[in-house]
Amino acid sequence: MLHYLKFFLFHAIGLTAITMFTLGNDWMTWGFLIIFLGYIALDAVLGDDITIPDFKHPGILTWQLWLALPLLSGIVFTFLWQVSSGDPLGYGALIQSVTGYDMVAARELNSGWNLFWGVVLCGLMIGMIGTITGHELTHRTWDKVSMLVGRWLLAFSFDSNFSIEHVYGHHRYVSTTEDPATAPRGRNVYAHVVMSTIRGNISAWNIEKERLQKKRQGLFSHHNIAIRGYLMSVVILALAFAMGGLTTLLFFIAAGAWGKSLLEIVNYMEHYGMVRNPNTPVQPRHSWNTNKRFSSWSMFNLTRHSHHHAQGEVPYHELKPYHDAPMMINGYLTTIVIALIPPLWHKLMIPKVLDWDARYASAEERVLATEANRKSGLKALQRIDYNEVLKAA
Amino acid sequence: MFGLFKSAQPKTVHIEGLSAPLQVNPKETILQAALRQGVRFPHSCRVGGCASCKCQLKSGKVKELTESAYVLSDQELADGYVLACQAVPKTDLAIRVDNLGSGPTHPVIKSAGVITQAQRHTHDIVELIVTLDEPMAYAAGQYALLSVPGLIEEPRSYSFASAPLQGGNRTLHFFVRAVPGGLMSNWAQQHNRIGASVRVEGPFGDFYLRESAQPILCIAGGSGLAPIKALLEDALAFKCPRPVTFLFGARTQRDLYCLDEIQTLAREWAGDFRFVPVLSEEPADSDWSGARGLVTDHIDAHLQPHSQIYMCGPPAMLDAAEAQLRARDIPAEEIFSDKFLDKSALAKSA
Repeated sequence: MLHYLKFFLFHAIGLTAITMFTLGNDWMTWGFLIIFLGYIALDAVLGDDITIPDFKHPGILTWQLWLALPLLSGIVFTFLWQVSSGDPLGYGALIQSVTGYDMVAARELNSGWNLFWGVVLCGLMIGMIGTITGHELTHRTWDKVSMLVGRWLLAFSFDSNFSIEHVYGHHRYVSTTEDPATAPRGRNVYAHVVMSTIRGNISAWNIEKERLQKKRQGLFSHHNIAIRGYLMSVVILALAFAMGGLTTLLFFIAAGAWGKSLLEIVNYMEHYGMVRNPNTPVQPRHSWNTNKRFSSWSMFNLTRHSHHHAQGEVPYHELKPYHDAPMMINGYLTTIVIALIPPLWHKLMIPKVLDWDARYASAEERVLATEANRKSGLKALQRIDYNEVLKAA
Repeated sequence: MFGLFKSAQPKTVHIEGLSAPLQVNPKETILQAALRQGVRFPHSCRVGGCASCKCQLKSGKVKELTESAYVLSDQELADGYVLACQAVPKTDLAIRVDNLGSGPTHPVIKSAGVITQAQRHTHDIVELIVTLDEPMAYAAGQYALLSVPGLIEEPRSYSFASAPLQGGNRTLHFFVRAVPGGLMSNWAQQHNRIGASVRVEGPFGDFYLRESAQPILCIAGGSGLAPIKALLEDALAFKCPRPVTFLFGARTQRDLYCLDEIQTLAREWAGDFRFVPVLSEEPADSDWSGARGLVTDHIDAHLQPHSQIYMCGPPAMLDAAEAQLRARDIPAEEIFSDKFLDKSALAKSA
């Protein structure tokens, strides 16, 4: 029973965000701090979860994922309500009649900082509630409902076509130079967010174009899943505009862009510096894994990334922890913060990457690693040339 | 769960060229069933993105979990190809798989190549890495003939020391041990041979991992590690679930090598993996706490019932091991050995 409940932590976090956005002003700042610091502290304190429970009712777990869509809609709605000037959908009046809390008066007190942290919290929720579940659901290519819910969740970060690029691109090319989402050694996270976003969208478009050609369907037609993906985001943008004009639209774009950035930061952390020959099967060593308990419970085991890539068909609740896989620096939020500070990131990751070369890489991968070191621009890596080690023999 | 998989009967899948059909459980894909039953089915991404596992449907119907038009060509779609990782049988099936199985079915080719790297593993074993002009497809466990144009025209045979890639390898790894008076072995050992031109012909040999679910006992001595390492690394890539015991015989600690690679195998192996290095001439007062003696002294302690045996090493070791295995009622057809002799005995040298 606990094992079903632990994945409801995700919904508890989403409801916390809705509550904080409903209360407005300083509560938005507190909402961000509580959720953000809570993650970092709980991952530090609670240690690892390496259980693999046997779920008799995986249907419950699927419903948990689908619930993310109303949850995320509620979060984004309440946030945009705070930056609108009227009372969209009469939400403020409803809250006042039920609880007596005057949302309109509370909104008057919103400071610039409150709104800033509101954007950050809303973007974090678009990443956590939207992208993580969207990722899990769009892997279920055989289930139309999951695909639809998943693509709408991704549309909040303008990224429905992640469902194309991720499965047919990233899972095929992970840890190779072909993969937009795998960061080469030496790249900083800010460059990665931009490059991976652009290359990922181009890749999704090309994959879809090729599919349509084979099916002899028009590129610019309703058959084009990539165009439909962009239109889904246009619908959400239109709704945001309808709530409060240009102001709500711009605030939504800011939150959505931050949500998309979080996805790319996570991509950055998950495969940074790893190398592979695309002709060899993907192994657990081709992802940075973490088994931090709180991250795992509240992120549907995305943390068990080594198994996810080695066996992409496995649903999240059956993923194994792989405690001897290459390990990420810490839980997800902690590692995100470290990634955002490039000097600290490289200081911590250079030894991990070198350890990966030494303990996990195949002989062929060490040759690829030498090339990656040479191009990294990091002196500590450029010194290491496995070919030299070989030649010295 | 959503009524997608109503039929609860296991399905039978006949794969062209394999005698035993696969049993595919409800909801299981062809690939999952094949790997579960120890069939070396080609694959990579497992989510329908790479087409490594494509196979041709000869009869029967499947449910496709993802749209195969993302990765299969027009011609393949027209010819009834499906992705094994995304195909759940709806009826009993017959399929054909290109490049299936580990058997030595690859065409023999001759290619010029260059030694691009050399790594010394022990005082008398060096690993040569050869880059070929054209890729050579081989089965793990097989060997190739190496010659040096203008210098050593008569070819020597060396086992491939790394797992093959789908589509053939352009880079080949060989372990070369110094043999007193050995022309090739000393040529390879003495100088920095990087940049030297070589000729490679292959693949040859019928030492390869047989389809089975039996436990595996590997016995390697000296540079006989090469085919055993290739065979195990290849089986790992196919998530081989069979339990493995690996006896590695050497003289002293300084003769042990590739221990990192073997540790990786042990760590990532799906089933049990026991690695037992055995030293025959390690000084009695050294810090070695592992097994001592001849590798054959340790077979009895580590032999599991119904094991299949794969061994490679000096002839004396293999003969002794075989006698011991036969005495333990291991039938001859379960023992696969790759004897190497130096050129004086006109056979394989590693």
